[in-house]
Amino acid sequence: MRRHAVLLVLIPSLAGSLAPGLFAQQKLERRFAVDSNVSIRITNMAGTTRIIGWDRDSIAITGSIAPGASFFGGGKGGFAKLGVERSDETLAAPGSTLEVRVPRGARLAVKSGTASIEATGLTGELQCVSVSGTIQVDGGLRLLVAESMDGNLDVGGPIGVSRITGGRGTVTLRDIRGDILATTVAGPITATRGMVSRAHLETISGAISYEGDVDRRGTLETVTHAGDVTLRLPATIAAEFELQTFEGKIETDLFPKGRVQHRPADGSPWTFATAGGGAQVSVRSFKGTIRVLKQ
Amino acid sequence: MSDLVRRAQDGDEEAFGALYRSHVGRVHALCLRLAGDAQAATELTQDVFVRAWEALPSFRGESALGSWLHRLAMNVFLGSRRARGRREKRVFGTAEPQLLERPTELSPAGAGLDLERAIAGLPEGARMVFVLHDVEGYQHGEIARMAGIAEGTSKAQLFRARRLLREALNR
Amino acid sequence: MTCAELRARLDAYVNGTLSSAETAAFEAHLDTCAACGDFLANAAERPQELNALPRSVEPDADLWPAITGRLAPRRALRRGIPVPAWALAAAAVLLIALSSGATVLLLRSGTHAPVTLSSRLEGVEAEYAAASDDLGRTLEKARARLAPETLATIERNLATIDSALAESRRALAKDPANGVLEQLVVAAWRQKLEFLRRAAALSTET
Repeated sequence: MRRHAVLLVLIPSLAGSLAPGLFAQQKLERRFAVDSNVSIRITNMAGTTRIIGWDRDSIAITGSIAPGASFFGGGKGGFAKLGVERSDETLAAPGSTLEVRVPRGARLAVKSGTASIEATGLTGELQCVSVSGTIQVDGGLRLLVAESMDGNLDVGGPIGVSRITGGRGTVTLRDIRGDILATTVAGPITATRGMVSRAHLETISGAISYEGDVDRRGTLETVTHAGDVTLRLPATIAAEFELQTFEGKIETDLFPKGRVQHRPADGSPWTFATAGGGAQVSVRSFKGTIRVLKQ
Repeated sequence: MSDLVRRAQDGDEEAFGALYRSHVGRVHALCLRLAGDAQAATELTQDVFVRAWEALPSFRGESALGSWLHRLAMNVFLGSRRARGRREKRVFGTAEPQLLERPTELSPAGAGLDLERAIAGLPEGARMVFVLHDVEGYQHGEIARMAGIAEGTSKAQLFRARRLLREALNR
Repeated sequence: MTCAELRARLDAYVNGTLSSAETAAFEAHLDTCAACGDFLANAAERPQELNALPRSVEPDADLWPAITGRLAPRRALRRGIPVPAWALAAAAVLLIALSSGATVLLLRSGTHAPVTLSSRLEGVEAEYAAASDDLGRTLEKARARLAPETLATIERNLATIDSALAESRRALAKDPANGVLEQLVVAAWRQKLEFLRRAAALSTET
């Protein structure tokens, strides 16, 4: 049965103007046609925002809006804007659930406070910012910029270029590729099945763990202040290493005869090469322990 | 802490000059042997005293000034060595540059080489360990920590230095 | 590398003809094998000639004129309890004080003459401190608009950053000639600035 968009738009705004709580969570359903590389801006401060890439040239939104909040949205061609507006922006106010289907190649900018953001099936660009909402991304994006001051970030690749900024939440990177910059303040960064050409992982007090390989001509840099760094690399990796910790220690088992420990003073770097060199791996820490181990 | 040091800490350049004159010989000797040539040693010595002026306010007299200067000289030397090492490393694409060092061609002349010249002729890594261990009296553990090398490397380089020196001195 | 292999390669090591992998293995063996360590120590002795080596060697020319030209002028410190150089080093010191759950950024100017810990670092620190101050003011103004939970998040992250910065600076004060530590201090400042930018962006967006 065809629903009239106009009628549906009325209901949320009615809810906004009548006493809050008069209506329970309102069901939402909207759809409009757009270009396949449309730019979309989505705002939902609390609750859940789920974005799913699909093969149609249209945006379809379903969900439920919290009492006291209102949905807004519209657009056509190359630009669309949608989201939830609340009169009560305190965190106690209930959040809304938005499930948005978008053309796979869309360019998205998503904003959140405590709302969690989930994105799957996208191949275009995604930029998302939250204060404490978790961010979870899966798929083959060309570009990902994800930032959360407190929330956990979970990113599954392969992604062409990633810029991930955390605060105290954990950053988990799976199947990462290409060019990646991941920074946190206190949250640990854990990367598995990596194959990077250019990676910079940085944290102040979190731990960094990278398991994977580095492109023959690539670079992997990790920087921490207090966090330990553990790299698990292929035993046959051909790379130049520059490992530097000021108050910590360095351990590696890449050398022919087992594990070697090294305790430099004054932060001078320990440099060595394996298999004639190639990739460049550098680790710098103030007091973290550095481990460079075979997988 | 001597009055001279206190005045130098307060900014009295003349007092610092007096300190310079008392200590330059010792500092320069260390720089000469670490650097391996007179020109580099001269620049290094100047750098050391300029750094000493900047860092002097943090000296609280827990050790003798001479030891403090000594330590500073080594840091300045090691710092410049690290900076150089990073540049050279890219070219060779291998581990520390000293691994590629060959002993300098020593003159075949009959008379035994002057010891200072023989030390200067050592490959850089071996020379550094030799000076720190056999001339300045540090242990391998300390050398490893200061220079950022493994203790095994320190022992190996010392052996290398002593052997090469012996060959040079026996000619 | 085994002990036997090491002992078969002494000459090659001395002459620098081992491959870089073998050289690394040679040296690594000595990290753990005391027997070979002793063997090497005995195989080549400290040259006796060293006893005649002078402890002091005056440079050929007087270096003082060149040195004096490079010394930054310094005015007298307050006498009394020795104050660590880092406390006086920067012309402006940035403090984070947590009061009544709100983040307050204070900029305090040193009242004594700046001590040159390293004139280059002092300059860099002053720049970072000034930029941090600007961002701090932006944050201050937006404070009322931020949810208390958001403020708390910002505070907690900033506390982690500041503690790392203070630690790096303390280490540098103990070893002021250390270029690596200097780099770490500058990196810590950069991280702080980056974070303040994020926090300020957050506060102006909403």
